[in-house]
Amino acid sequence: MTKKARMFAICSGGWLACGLAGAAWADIPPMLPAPAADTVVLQLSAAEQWLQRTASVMGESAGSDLPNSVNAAASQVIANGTVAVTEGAFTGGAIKAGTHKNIAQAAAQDVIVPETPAELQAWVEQSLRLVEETGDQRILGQALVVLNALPTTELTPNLRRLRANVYQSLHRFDEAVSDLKAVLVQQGDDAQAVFLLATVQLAQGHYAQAGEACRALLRSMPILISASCGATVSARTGGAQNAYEKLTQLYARQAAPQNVGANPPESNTAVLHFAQVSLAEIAEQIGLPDAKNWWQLALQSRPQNLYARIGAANYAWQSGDIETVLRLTQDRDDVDALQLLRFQALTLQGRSAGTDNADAVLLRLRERVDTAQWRQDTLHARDQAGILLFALHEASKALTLAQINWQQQREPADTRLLLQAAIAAGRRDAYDATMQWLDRVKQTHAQYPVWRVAMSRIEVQSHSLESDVP
Amino acid sequence: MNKLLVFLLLWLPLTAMAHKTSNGFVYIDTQTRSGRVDLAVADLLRITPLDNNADGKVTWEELQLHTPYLRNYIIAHLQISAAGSECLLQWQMPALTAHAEGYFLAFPFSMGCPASKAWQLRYTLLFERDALHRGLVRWQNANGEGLDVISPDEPELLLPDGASSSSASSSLSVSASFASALRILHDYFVQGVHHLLVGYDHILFLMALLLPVMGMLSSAQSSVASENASTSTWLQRAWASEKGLRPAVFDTLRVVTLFTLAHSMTLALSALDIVRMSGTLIEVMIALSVSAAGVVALIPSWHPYRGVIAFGFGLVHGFGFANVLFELSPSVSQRVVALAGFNLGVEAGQAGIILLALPMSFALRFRLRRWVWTLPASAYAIVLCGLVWAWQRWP
Repeated sequence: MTKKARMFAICSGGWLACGLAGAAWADIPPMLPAPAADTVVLQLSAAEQWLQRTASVMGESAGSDLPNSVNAAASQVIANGTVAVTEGAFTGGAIKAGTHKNIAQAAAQDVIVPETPAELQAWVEQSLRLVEETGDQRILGQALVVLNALPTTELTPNLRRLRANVYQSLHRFDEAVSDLKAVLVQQGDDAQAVFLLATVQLAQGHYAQAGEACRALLRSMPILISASCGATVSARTGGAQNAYEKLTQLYARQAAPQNVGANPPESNTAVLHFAQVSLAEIAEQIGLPDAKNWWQLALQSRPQNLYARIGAANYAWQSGDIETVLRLTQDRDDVDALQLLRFQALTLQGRSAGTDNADAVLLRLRERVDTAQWRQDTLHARDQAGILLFALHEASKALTLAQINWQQQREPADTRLLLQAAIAAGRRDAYDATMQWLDRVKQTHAQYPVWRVAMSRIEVQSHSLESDVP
Repeated sequence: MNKLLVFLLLWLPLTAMAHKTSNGFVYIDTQTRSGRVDLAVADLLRITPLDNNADGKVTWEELQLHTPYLRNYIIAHLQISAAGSECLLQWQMPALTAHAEGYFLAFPFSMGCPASKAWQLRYTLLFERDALHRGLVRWQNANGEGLDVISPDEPELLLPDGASSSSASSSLSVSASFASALRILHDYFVQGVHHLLVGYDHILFLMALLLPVMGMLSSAQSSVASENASTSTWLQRAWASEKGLRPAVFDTLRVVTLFTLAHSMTLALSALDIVRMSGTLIEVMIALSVSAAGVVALIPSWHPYRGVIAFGFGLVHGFGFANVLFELSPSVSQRVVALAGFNLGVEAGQAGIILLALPMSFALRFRLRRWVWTLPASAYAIVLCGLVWAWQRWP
């Protein structure tokens, strides 16, 4: 018996020691054993293919600052599609036979090297289009490097406007506005710049300036664009009902078959899509169930558009439509906002299918927040705050981030999150400060939580949301 | 109209939905003179086109093929210096590793540097291609460790030396000097004790398993009384007797050791992110384990299997402890010390309770014998308790 007890003690001590020894490496992910040669390490997405094809936009910088011993040959491997590989160019590793051929093949892929401003403009536009669909920040970082490297003389107004667009996507609104103002000094009739300015000011909650910009669009844009822009401004400053009715009527006229034929189908889809998103947001603000239909239309007209997908998934969650949330968030591991909604939906449903369970999603979200904190990144403060509030239940941290985010942008989703975080953290002061601003601009929203009942509502949200279905 | 189309396509990334951030990880240990650079495969293909056959897939073979070129690129963009002179980096074979963002290629290296307290890191990897790329550095030296971030605006990083372990540049740095490690150990020890005492489900589980021991103690009375040895004290007699104190103590030791062994294992596995379990499920299972232990106490022929029960459900209780530990420690770099302190705290709390309960049941052994219904009644109450908890915790 004594022997046995001793053995138990030794065993448990041993286990503890093993665990502690393992812990020393726990923070650093382990190196994996070498896989088979044909193991796929990365399935290239459209964005990644684009990054690979456009890597040499940066010219020869890839190799130009390599050490001299390597520079002579290796640096010129891929430069404008030409190949120059010398034996022994590489050091420190065996090169298999056929390497040169392979590298030549790689270099011969249609590498895009824009040379004229027009080509560069098309390149940035294509980059931004890919960002819209994939949300890959690498593309924005690359575009920024290229645009910032241009001498001021080569930075045409069009390129400058595109740079503003990149800044806006990165929530660097001050830089975006300063670029847009510079563009408008040079070409005052630049409708795209005016429009971008309107959206930036709308996002920041500068409604007077945004309204002005929307009105200026009347001259140069289809009526549905300036009307949608103006309706959104009115809706956020107390005139939601009226704006919604007017825009619905206008939309019905513009979307009628006889009008649809007038424009090229693609741009017409884009115009209608913009109106649909605007109508969905205003309907959501008033609390109309029509919002569901508008989001559906917006998704149908442009299925790849991430903004509409997030908007629709969020509306589905708010209205307790769990099936739709799960459908819209499927296979979008890369987008935090969708992953958070998926986590909430899976948790509510208690469902786990294979690897797709709430815990797996939570693990991913937690890692994202950790990395963002390490990066000291506040670009996705809204998503981080959402994850902290709804998935990790760290209300006061969430509130801090929601406040940082609200200094940058004040769209209804930002404001709602700030109010929810303030309530969860029990911070009446933060709640009241936000409400004061809302009262001042006369903004109301069906989804803004009220202090008194909200305490229970947030708790209820995670248990029995179905009962809230309109 | 074409112009319009383009701009409308561009409009909608209004809110930044860009989520795939580009990060390179650098780990440096100035004591062992070793380090590692991890770069995402998605970033490596911007350095050199990895997808040789343009089939939309990057394979391990393709990665290997480009490794020499990639390594040279890293050599040109990463410099480590000590006492003002650049270290000679010796690179080992790269290997695949996984971060939250997907697969990375890890380039391990060792450093040839002069002895120094002034270490400097210069990192310019990918900055010429991506203004948003960041180098995430985790350093470790004689007196501490910490996290830092390198950006194109500040590509150089001075690693804080031992004297001032909390430098201004590393807001996230965690000084793990001996004193602070001791503090963390102490804090988590207290948390461990506290959690065991307020987490009455753990205590009840243990008590249910030890209930039969009280039975042994009460039967010890009869055997002790039957022996008429005046030379030894009652304690010695109780210890020496066949059905007395000694088997009771050893039985307790056996059950408790198995329980400890099991929950230490899962606590360590879970705290170190090797295994992760759903919190709700674990809480329900812990509640049910209390009931199971109660049922076992009711059936005398099952008593020998209490060790198995203690071990099996001990695994579950370990996950429960781990979930508490997660809530307490957001920072990963403290986890080792925190885990040790927490586990020691849990064991100490447990030992304290047993040291209190065992003598108490020994003192009560005559009464227990008289009130024959005490044991089954307690067992039934425990079973009921577990079931009620399981019902409450069910999602």
